[in-house]
Amino acid sequence: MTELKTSNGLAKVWTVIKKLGKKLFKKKPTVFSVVCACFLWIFSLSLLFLFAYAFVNSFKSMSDFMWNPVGMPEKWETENCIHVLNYFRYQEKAHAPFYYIEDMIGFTLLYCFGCTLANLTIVTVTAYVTARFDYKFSGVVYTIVLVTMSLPLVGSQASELHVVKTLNLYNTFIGSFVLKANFLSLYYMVFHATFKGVGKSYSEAAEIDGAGNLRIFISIMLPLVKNTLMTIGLIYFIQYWNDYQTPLLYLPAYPTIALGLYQFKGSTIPDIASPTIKLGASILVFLPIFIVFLIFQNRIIGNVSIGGVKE
Amino acid sequence: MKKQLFKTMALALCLTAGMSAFASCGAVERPDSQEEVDVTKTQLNVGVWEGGFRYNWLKEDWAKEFERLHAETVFEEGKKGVQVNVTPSKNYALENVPTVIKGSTDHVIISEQTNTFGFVRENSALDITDILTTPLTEYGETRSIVDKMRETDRAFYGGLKGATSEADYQYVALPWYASFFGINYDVELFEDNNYYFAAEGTGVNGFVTSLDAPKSNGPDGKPNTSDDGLPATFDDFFKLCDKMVQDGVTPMVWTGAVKDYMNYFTASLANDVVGFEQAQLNYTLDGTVADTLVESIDANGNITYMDPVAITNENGYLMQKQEGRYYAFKFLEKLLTTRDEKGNTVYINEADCTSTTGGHMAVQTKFLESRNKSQDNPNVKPIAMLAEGSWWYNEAKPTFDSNASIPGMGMNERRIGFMPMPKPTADYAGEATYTNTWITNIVINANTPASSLAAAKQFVRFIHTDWALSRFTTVANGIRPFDYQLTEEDAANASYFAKQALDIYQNSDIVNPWSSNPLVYNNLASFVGNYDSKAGGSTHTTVVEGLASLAKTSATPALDYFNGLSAYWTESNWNTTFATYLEN
Amino acid sequence: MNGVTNKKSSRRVRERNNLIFYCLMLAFPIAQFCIFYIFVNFNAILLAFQKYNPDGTLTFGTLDNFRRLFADMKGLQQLRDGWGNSLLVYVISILSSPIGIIFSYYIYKKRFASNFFKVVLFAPSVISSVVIVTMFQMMADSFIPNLINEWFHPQPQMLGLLTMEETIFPTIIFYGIWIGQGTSILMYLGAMGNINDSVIEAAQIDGITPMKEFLFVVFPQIFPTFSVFFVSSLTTLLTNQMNLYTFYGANAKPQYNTIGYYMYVKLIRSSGIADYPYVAALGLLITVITLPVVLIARWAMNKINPMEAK
Repeated sequence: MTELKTSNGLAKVWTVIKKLGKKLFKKKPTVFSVVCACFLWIFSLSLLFLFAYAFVNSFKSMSDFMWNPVGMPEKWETENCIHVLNYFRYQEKAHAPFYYIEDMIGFTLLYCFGCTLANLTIVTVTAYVTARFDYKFSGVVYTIVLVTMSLPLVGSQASELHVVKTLNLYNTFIGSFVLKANFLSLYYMVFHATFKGVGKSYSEAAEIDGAGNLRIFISIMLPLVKNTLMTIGLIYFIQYWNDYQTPLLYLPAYPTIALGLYQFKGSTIPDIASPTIKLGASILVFLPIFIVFLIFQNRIIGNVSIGGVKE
Repeated sequence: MKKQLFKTMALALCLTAGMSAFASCGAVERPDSQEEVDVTKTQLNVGVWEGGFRYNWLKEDWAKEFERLHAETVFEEGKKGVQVNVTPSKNYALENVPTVIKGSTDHVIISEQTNTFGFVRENSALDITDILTTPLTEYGETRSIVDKMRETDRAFYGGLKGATSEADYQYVALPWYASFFGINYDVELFEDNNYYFAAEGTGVNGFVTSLDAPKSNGPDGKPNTSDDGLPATFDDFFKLCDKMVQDGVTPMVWTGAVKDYMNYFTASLANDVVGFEQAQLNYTLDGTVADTLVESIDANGNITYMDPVAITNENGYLMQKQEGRYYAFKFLEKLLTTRDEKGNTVYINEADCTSTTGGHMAVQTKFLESRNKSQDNPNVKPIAMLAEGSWWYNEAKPTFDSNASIPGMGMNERRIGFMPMPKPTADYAGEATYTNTWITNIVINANTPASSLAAAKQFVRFIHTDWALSRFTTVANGIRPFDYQLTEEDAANASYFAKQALDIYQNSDIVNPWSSNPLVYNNLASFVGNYDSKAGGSTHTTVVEGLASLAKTSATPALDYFNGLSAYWTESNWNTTFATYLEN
Repeated sequence: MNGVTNKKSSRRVRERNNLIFYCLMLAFPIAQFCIFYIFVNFNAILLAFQKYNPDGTLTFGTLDNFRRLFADMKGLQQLRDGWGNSLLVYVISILSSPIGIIFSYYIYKKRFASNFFKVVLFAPSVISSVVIVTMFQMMADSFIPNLINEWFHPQPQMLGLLTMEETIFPTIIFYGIWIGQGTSILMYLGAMGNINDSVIEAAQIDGITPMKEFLFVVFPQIFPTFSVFFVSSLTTLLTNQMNLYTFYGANAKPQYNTIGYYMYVKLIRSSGIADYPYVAALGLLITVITLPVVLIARWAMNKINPMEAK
């Protein structure tokens, strides 16, 4: 009886191993793929290790970090989180109010949503009208995008800042939205190609039913590209969430969380001088967007790869 | 898809919103939250630099005592008493402060690393001459604030509007704290290991065998003074370091995170070599004769001196040849370049001295904890000395607090002292000269509304009473650059470090690397901690990095760096840079 | 007759409505483009020839900014070394592009754990550079040297990678390559995804080896993407900051500056608009240098395109 049970168990294990083997080695490994895999494993594990290192060390005290830089925390200092929440703050100028994390999240959401909406709207609208309407100017717009993507007119940041200040758009959310509301990007080409590819029958049928151009755009065309819209919107959102240099230059009175972290990182207040607290703050900023990324990685990665150029 | 998107965004944002809700709901107590405004009292806003000194002494001591003392004082019509609102700000440091305060609603501003002349130029600070020159009789004192100031401070703070005699001095600011830089040493470690030089003819290998044994005269060359037993010369210092190394102690450490710190150390050491008068000449260029200028240095390090020459604005570049600089570089060269057979530095922990991780407070933590850690862990070496400024002790409060439960490790239990700089040779024996690091300021905002002005002026007077001065030293472990002593109560509670630093300040010459010479105060960056040097094909701005870099290719990095000072500050460069302030 | 007239007039109405809609929709984007692209770049050229007056005004008609710029290029180490550093960074990023291409090929062939690699390698692209730099700094300056000292006891002991002069620049460049693989991998993946499967199958039927498949089938097909990457990287040749501001704020050592970093620091530290003309002059100089380089590079890449050759 026991022998029967054992052999059944072994058979089950062998079946699992065979299934795993089939999965792992769907394709016959070659020297190239093995070498490549090794390098990829090193790359990937080193990246994961970086996040793990930061997470673990954010629970060390300053003393533990200095004396025990390599090991696990002697004592897991959960108080570090409290310190981060207490001192993760931003003050634009003297006697200005302190903005804490909840304020910065608010500013960040407003900045990200606003810039994303502005950017996405303008790109989509411009791509749509230039794709659907065969005026000569549509060709001009398309060429403008091509030319600006290929020709580097660089070093104009000083001038841009000057113009923004002159137009009283400096240090305002509206100013940031206006600044980002341009169609000069690769995604214009993506939308242009998409809209160009949509058959005219949809819009013609809607016209017959009495729909105006705006109605056709909103009710018929946009739903057709909603997946692309959402993906590119997500990409923009992440990009703006992580950007600290633009708010530092153009919107210093309304710190985003990335800008707050940048200032926190350089702070010399004794209570938060510890590198472990700075790591804790980094984890705080990194976690939400990482979660969003993990859940939407198929969508984000799948659609970023559309950017490849076809011959 | 939409649902999934919204659900996930909500999840992620809940994570962050959750943290912020937790923070804002009072579960996390926010520091610096403002008290509710008491409309029956005059409002006085005090802004302070959010830095190493923190501001508990300001909030808990100065402000509270001022409110108590003036609970019945009428500062403005219809109100009695005063409410002091303290706000820290990271904007109250560096050169922008005079402009920054124009847009601030703070009435009294306490800042550091700011050129006082900026307040004069921007007209952003109130003239406070009247409140400085009248005795503090309302607080039972007979002296005025100006009476308590050093002559050099009066000349600088009072002379920025062009006054040449004390009677005409006009003040817009007062100094906040004395920021001298030097060697801090672990007195307990020294005592445990008998790291004191014995009086001549006594001791073993030149060191005492017990704390009661007679000690050498120390750097000042005088017996029975506070520096007895401490290394008097460079040779003594390195002999002490060798003994420490043998005992498994790391002699010295400094921070690698703030590159300028060792430039300030260099200034302290260089100025100590030449003495107060010659040192101050670097920054006054007032025609005093310089008699310590180097003509040349031979291969054996023997110096040939230039003929004494009066130094003025026109030939100020000659001060780059002052011998103090050379000796300071030699001292640092030895610290940096002495290596064992494995190539590791012997006298310093190179990793700690170059690391930027953890900022400058990381190395303070190591210094403070090393002795205790070494008792449990044989791989840890105690650290004997730390190069730091007089403000560092309070900066390290979080470290003290985290070690408070260990007997003898609390802030008021540790004995850390300031060591007078050793001299190049016994011929240079004399009183220690210390050097301040940067300018600090207490000003009244020119924008202060009339309703708060009286309170602001009174507050500035109050914080210069003997009580307030003593309190700052006791609570903040810092030294206010005024003539005062600790009260009896404070003396019983103050830390060893604070008491010793105050003693040093009151009994030593302190050089200010600034003056009311327009050439200097309009170009402070070229004077304060400036050791720009062209050597080895590069321009070096930080001394330790420059010396370390030169040491890779040269056998005489200190000499090269010293010669490079003059190569950088040529007559031509000096004339071009300061053309506006030169007569020709 | 009435029916024809009605049709014509309704067509005219529709066309007029289309035109109105078209103009209204493009009004803001074109206005934004005119102000923030055309005018800004025109203003950049103007600024470069303007002088900042102490009272805050600007006076046109001076070459002082260029004179100061050329003087600084001789006198300031940041600018002297910045050109070389910027070029070095670009060259290294091009030389390291095969890493991204080969990794992409591995993932394209859906080898073991390719999805996992795709996600992990792309993750840094979605995380703020401040976060990753903070983590990397601690690791490079504290963890790695201490680990090596503990395990291998090198003599002399190893110092922080961002501390030792010999390793600072290589470490920062390494960081850029290490973190930047994600976006390029996905770009090449996208291009490889567009390759016709029948081409690959035909080659495999002919018995092609994986290496030859990569070199003679896949790479030529993705060459246009590589060409876009090569040329678009050139546009940032002199504006690339190399994450220096995130690492060091405004205090990076002069010998490690890039031109892009120098420009950004000048802007951040400018008191009001005082330094804008100077920075604009530098920007103009960068454009004058980069523009022909990019055009020549585009022409050259088109010339050597293996698909064009066929």
